[in-house]
Amino acid sequence: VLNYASAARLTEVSAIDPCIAPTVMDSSDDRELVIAAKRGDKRAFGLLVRRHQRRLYRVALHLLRDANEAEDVTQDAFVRAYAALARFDGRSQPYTWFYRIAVNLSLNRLRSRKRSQSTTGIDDARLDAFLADSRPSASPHRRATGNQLGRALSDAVDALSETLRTTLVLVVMEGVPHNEAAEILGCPEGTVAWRIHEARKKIRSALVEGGHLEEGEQI
Amino acid sequence: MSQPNQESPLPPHIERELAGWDLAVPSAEEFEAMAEAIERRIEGISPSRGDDGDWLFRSPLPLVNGERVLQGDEELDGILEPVAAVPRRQTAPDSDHLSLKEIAEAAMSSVEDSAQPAGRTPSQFRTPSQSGIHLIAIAGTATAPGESMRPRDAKPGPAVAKPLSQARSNVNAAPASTRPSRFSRNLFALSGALAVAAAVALWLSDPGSSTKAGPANAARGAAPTHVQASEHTPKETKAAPAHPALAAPAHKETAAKGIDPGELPAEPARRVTSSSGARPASPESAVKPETPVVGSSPAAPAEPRLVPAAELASQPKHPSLGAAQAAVGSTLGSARLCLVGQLSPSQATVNFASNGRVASVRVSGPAAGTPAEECIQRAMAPARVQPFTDESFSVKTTVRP
Repeated sequence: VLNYASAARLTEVSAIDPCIAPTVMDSSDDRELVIAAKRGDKRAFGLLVRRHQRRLYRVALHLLRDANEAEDVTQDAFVRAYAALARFDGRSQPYTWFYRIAVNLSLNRLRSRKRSQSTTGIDDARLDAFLADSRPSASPHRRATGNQLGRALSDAVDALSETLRTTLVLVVMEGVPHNEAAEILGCPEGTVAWRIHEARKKIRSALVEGGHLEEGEQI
Repeated sequence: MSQPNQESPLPPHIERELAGWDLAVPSAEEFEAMAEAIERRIEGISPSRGDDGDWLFRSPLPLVNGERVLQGDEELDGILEPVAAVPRRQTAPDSDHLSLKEIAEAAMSSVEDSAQPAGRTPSQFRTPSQSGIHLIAIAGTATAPGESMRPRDAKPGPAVAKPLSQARSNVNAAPASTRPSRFSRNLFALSGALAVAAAVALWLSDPGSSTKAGPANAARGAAPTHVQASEHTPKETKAAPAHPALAAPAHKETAAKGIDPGELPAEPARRVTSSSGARPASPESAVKPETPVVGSSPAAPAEPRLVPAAELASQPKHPSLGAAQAAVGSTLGSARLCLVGQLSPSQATVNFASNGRVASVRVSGPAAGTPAEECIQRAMAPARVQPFTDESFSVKTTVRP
């Protein structure tokens, strides 16, 4: 796998002699694809889209709770990223840059939507996982508790501040490493850890308040 | 590092639910259709800098005042304490609020205040204030009850402005939410004690410059000589000692080393007020020529540094980027204070000289050409890296409001 430096050298060489321009392969590194896309190689960017659209969609869905809006944000994020590829300086992983754009777009939509935090309803796309246990094979208890817990968790997550919720979604729900989450969010890694801890504390409080968790329940 | 993950407040089954939260995502075909739609949308676009503003590419949720940064050796109970934020500037006028100058004077007067009531505990000085808490805490914790911080053989300077008791009565009015954590209180107390000790030591060793001024000016005199050689105006020099109350959180390392608070940016509230109306016509494109900061004044050229050959051989060619970024990062907190009230970030290029000190700071963006520029330069001047053999080394960073 070419690292960024060698890929950059390759780009310099190919700028001189187009005959030795690197071929974009499905196995190409993200940064190589970005370099190719910067030259106008739309197929390279298409590969990037296919690699990362799922994760962007999931983050947008967690933040926006609406499948259609999540799809809009995912598309917009990639289109705007492509239009502004010259801004990408290559110091970070391209996908963290895509994440950042998607998070900014999602937060922007949330702010303009000005929706209150109590709008979680039966059509909340995030609840599908819990409602999936409503299948006949699941026990009635599991169906009932899963549904209730899902709602309670959704409400608790919604009640978090924008900062805590976004960090929680990235790190806990999507498994983004702390260092990359710090890069995406533009804060120190230690702050990411602190935000996660704060978010968990608040979720616990909310669950205890709602009766879904005992005060002294084993941690 | 105490990983909060390891001691999650949530029970395992909730953790599992959160981590394994399955979303109903589109099928592979639907994703493929989405990718094709994206490809169609970019058909007529050529990659450039885009039409979107900076907001789209900016850090969505940068560190804000009040948030903690967990350090490696920090204990978990420290996490749970109230957050010690950088004291925020009050937005409304408050007659009970001490000015920075008053706070500094009160703190310095506490050095002289040998009549402090016996039995007063340091905690009694930890009354919260918007700006003065740290200095008051320094006065309270660095001095044992009934004991003066002044060395036995040190001569007292002339009386300084306000008695500490008056300062205390004023700072009592501040809300409890601004109370700093135990960790930061102790840190500031230690930093303050070291700074005052350095000030007194310099005052004693340089009677010509400090006998007239007393300890308050001696504290300013404690700065390295390159600070004195800088182009600070008298007004800035006067305001500088007042600043630790605001800038100390981001300068705990430099403060602990006894570096003069005068190196820190002067009172941000004033600067912001004056800078808000003085922006250049095109702030984004405004890039001022590199301005020398402390230690690089043409009037006081630095003496050539004589370095033993062995030491030179052991020095790196240039500092690691990480070390330089960390050094610059340690000053970002106070640099950000310079942009309070501004909306857009500015860029700063910090140029380190081979002795590891900051030779110059170039500011571009909205802050360029405004008082905030000098404020940022002063805020970043304390950054230090290990000496290196190259002539200079530059690091670029973004200063966000």
